[in-house]
Amino acid sequence: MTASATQVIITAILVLSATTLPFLWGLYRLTTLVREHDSEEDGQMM
Amino acid sequence: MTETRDRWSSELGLIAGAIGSAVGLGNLWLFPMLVAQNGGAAFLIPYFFFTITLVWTGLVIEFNTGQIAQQGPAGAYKELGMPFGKIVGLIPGLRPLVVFAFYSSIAGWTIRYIAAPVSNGFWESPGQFFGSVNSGANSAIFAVVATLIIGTIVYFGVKKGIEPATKVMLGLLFALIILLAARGVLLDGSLEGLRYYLIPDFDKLTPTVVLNAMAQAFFTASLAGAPLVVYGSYLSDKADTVTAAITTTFGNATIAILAGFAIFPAALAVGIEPATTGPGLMFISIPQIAQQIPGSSIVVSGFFLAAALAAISTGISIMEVPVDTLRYHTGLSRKKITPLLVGFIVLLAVPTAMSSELFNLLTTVVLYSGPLAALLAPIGLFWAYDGKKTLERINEGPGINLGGWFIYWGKYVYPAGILFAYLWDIFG
Repeated sequence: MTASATQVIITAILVLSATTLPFLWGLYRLTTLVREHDSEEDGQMM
Repeated sequence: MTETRDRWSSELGLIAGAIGSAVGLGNLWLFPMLVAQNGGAAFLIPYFFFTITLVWTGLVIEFNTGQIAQQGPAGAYKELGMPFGKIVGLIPGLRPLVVFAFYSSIAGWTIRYIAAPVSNGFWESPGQFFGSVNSGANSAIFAVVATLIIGTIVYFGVKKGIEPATKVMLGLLFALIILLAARGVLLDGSLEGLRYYLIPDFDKLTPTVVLNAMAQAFFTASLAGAPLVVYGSYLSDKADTVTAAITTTFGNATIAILAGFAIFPAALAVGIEPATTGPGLMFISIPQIAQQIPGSSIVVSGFFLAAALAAISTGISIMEVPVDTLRYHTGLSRKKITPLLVGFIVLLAVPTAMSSELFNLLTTVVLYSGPLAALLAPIGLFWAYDGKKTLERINEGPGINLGGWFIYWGKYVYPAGILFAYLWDIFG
């Protein structure tokens, strides 16, 4: 049986999400961490 | 006077460097080809499995080898208490020099190919054109160009060279690969290629396919006990290595997955069966695929610009290892060592670029020395240093805490996995 276009699109979304979501989550987390770290340093300087 | 150790400005610098190191031609070309040769989508299942089990943990181990020792591979194993650590460290510390000798040729070809669509004879006979690029003086000239570009970036150090350069290159690489993937998906007849790429045929999920997926998952992540150890050593004590490892792993996998979207629909739409073209044929198959779709010159230049960016960012991490090794052993500064090393590499790279025998010999040396180099990080941390102390140091960072299972994982499971993947790659 050949997969339909809908099946292909759903699988494409699942496969892309499986890699991009953890990647974007990590980028967001590290960016937030850097901001927190910067604001802590600013606080210490004041 | 000994220089103070370089530092990333934050973990974001590390992940840009580490993704840059991991993303190479293995993602853009080898990954889609392996998917094609191993039953299409069936390959993706074990690939994901090993990515979410072994690969990110390997990155945690390599980052922490450098971070805990505050040394690259040259000094890390001695620092971690490994017997003969200083001598053992020379293997991962200098092996990248051999890698660079032939990698500079491949990086040079990708640079040459950015302008290939406007060169004489390119579209008429892609095979013949590649023959003229990958041999003799042409190959040597572009190997030297690649070495000089990479050497200049390394010369300026971590904060002024490697970190800003890899951030810009990765941003551009992501943008290019997204555009190429979108171009592939929007082609007429792309559904057939997407079906081939994404819908698994479970009958094809054989033990060979599983082992090929395991080997690819390992190699594409740059796990060789060297570049990622050096990059980890530029982190401060309070860095979140676990999140950095997860982000690097999935950033690397994202580019590989997107490359499949760029290649499969286009290849099948123009009637080229991806499984019949081997990895060395990227330079011939991409023009053949592109020439039958609208905007072919832009597609070819865009693809090889992406490939050149990937090759240069990987080359940076490869050259950084011997720079660190020589700094450790001689005490000389980066600014003195880098030009000397570039000169030496050129002497090694030119004959390698011109002689296919030497090229093949060096790739064999690299392949067979791989298992030892890659095993040193887990042995150094979990056997020579201490599993419990390693875990405490990993959990000192502000990010995710790992449980006690990681000690057994790092001591037994990960080394067994990496040994298996390497032996399969060599003898399988």
